[in-house]
Amino acid sequence: MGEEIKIREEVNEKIKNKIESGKYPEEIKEFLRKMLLLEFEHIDEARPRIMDEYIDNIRKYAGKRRDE
Amino acid sequence: MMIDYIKLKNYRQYRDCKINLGIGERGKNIVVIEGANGAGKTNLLNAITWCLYGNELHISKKYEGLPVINTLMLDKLGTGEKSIVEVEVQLVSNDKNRRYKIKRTMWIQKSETGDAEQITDRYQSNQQDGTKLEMFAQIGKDMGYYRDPAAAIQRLLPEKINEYFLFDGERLDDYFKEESGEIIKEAVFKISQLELLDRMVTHLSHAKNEFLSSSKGLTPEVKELQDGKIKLQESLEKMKDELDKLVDSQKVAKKHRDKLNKELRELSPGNIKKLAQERIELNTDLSQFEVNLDEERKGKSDYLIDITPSIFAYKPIAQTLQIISKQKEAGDIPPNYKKNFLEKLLEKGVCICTTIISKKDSKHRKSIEKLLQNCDEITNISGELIELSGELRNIKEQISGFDEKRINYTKKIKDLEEQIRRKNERLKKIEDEIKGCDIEDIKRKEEKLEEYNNEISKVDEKIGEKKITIDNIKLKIESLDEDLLKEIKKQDKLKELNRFCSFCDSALEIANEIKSEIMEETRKEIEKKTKKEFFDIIWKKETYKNVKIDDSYNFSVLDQSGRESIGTLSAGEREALTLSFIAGLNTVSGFDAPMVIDTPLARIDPEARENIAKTIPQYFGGTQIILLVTGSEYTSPVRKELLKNIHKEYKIDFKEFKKGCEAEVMPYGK
Amino acid sequence: MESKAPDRLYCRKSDREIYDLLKKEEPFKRKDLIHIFMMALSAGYMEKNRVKLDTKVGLILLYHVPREVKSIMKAIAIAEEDGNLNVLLDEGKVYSIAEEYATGGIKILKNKVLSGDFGSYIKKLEAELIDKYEKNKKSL
Repeated sequence: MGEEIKIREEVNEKIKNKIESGKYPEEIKEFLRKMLLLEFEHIDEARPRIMDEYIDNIRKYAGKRRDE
Repeated sequence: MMIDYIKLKNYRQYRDCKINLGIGERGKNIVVIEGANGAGKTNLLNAITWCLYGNELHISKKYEGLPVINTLMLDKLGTGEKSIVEVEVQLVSNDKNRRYKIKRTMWIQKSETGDAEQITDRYQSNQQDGTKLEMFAQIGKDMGYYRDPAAAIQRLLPEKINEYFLFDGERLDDYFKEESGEIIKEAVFKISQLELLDRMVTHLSHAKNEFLSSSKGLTPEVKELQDGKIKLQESLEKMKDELDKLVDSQKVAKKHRDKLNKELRELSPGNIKKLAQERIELNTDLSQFEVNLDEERKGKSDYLIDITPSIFAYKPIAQTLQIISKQKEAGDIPPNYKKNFLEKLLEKGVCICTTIISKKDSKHRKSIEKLLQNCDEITNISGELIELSGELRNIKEQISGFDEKRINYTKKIKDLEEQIRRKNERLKKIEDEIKGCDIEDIKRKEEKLEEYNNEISKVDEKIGEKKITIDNIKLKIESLDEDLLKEIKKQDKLKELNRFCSFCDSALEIANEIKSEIMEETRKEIEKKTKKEFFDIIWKKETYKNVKIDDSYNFSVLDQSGRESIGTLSAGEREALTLSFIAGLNTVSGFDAPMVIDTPLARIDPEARENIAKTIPQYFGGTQIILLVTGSEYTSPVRKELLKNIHKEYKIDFKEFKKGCEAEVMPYGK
Repeated sequence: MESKAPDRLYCRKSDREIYDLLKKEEPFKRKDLIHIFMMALSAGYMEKNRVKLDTKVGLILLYHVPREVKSIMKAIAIAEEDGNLNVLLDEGKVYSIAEEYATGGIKILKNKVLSGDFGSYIKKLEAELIDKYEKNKKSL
């Protein structure tokens, strides 16, 4: 029958471009790119269980920031 | 994207049919499918929406009560025997790199009473309505299927704005209604995938809350602030729930209202109120006219009776006048002296000159006696004769006026009769139009409609108030958050927590910013393209100045004086605006739909038809356009305008039998 | 011999009920007995049907008869007396001529009125009047 198709369509170019072109810290850009893709993967789910990934990635990318 | 083909099996009048569409070489992007009214054009549109969304969004009254399964097929089935209804649509991207095959299947069983009963196949049905929906895709060299085809279809071709690419020319009135803006905005949001950012914002907020609530070693100040925040958040959730309930109740009321509107439109031909009012006025007029007619008729009758003796006795009248006239001419009327005057003189014995004439042998007496002898009795009534002559002359004049007066009466009567006839005719027309309309029912429905409208307004107000309350709570929470962060910053051991929270805040801000920017840019692009295309297509360019789309996606068409004109657009102009908007929508990244237009020219004036036919191909250069037309729309001049862009032409061959009907779509060239 | 000047118009006893009947019918519902009398007179005069009254009953007081109507009766009486104006000296004779023509015409009138509906009698009357009028037009 074929594999279940997941991500063949792309995230809207406009959103990606806004992130790339914005004057934001690199770690935030990376974080947003990753989370965007994560959301896209779960777009068909009404309540995706992805909080753990959020927490983990916030810890990861926030740790890369200089202390305020 | 284009529709490569549509396959129909036992769907309505289509027993077993495959219609190849696609796009031809060198910009030939139009497919024409011609069919008479009722042949099956709109059911092709319904087949597409049924396949994609499980709903026949354009079903007509004629087919509403009938089973989806072809009635000839149903007739062939035995009691308890099963069959399927299936529609398959294949979509292909213009670069042919992506291919989507969508198929919906429904199982039918013939009941004991001969009706069609839908049954659910326990193993195969995967939709709530008991049908099976499958979506296969080939993208590049990869092939696969979608686990949630319904959701995938919504991303590809959102149902909420389907009327903007599966366009029904008969329903022009439904476009650009008040509520359309919200629906369009939601769909643009979905198409642009901005819901991803929305979800991200939600998740980031939750993550931040989790960080804050899971931190250990909180100072009492921090704990107090956190507790306060929790209470506010609970209150916020409660308000949001209440808001959702209000929105839902409003949606229900709107649904009922829209349903009532639809019912009233169907019940009421044209404007029933106006017709009913006209009927009352006509009846009142008729009563008055009938009274007037009766009076005129009686007036004429009375006149004829009055004049009859005069006309029948005309000869004696004329004769008498002649006699009296001759006597006048002879000097007999008036006479020199009356007989009874002379008699009186003799009786008195004194003449008028005072001469005594009492003696019988008196010379004077004898003269008077001689005069008396020659005097006619008629002299006594000479005055009466003069009067009689005068009267008869009057009568003669009345007779000479007979013709004119009679004709006047007749004309008045005829006029009144004609007016009455015309009013009765109009009355009959009105009666025929509103025959079967239950005016009381319509009145009740209109009253109910007003109730719903009032309810919707009231709930609108409450929603507004609730939103303000929610915003206030959010502001309080924000303020608490700031205080919380300040407290946290004061403490070294909460440095990490502080870092995480700041990071979440930054990400939140950026996500919201990007979302607003994209929405605004998208709106502007759609507005720009819609405006450009609208002014390219319309023929009364000097009438209008601007086309605007506001933040809520409400449309405005401004005339040269800057006045709102959207309500006064003609059918042709409204169609032009809709087509322009669809062209605008196609600029939204990610949206790529074929155009299926059902009876595009039905409500357009003949002069405007060729204009629209001319501009459709140039509007949608590159987009597949499938036109479902009647013979009276697809005239030679219209065909001429479209010819160089026509890829294929079909005709629906519809046959009606005793037990059902069948349609085939045959290649056709006029 | 001159007859005594009458104070009323008479009709035959047997005709009185016809007058009463016609008074209840269209087109005489709104009219007086004098109009019926004159219509009967016209009908009798057209048919040259003069009928003496055998038994008579009073019908209409002359006091109520308009001058115009009396003039028409006088003209008819003069014509009956070969243009002799002297007939006017005998009022009684003038009115009895009128009464005799009315007697001769009342049944004709009744038949015409009651034979069809109101509309058809009036239509026929109009046609007769037009015909008579056309014939006399030249001398008008």
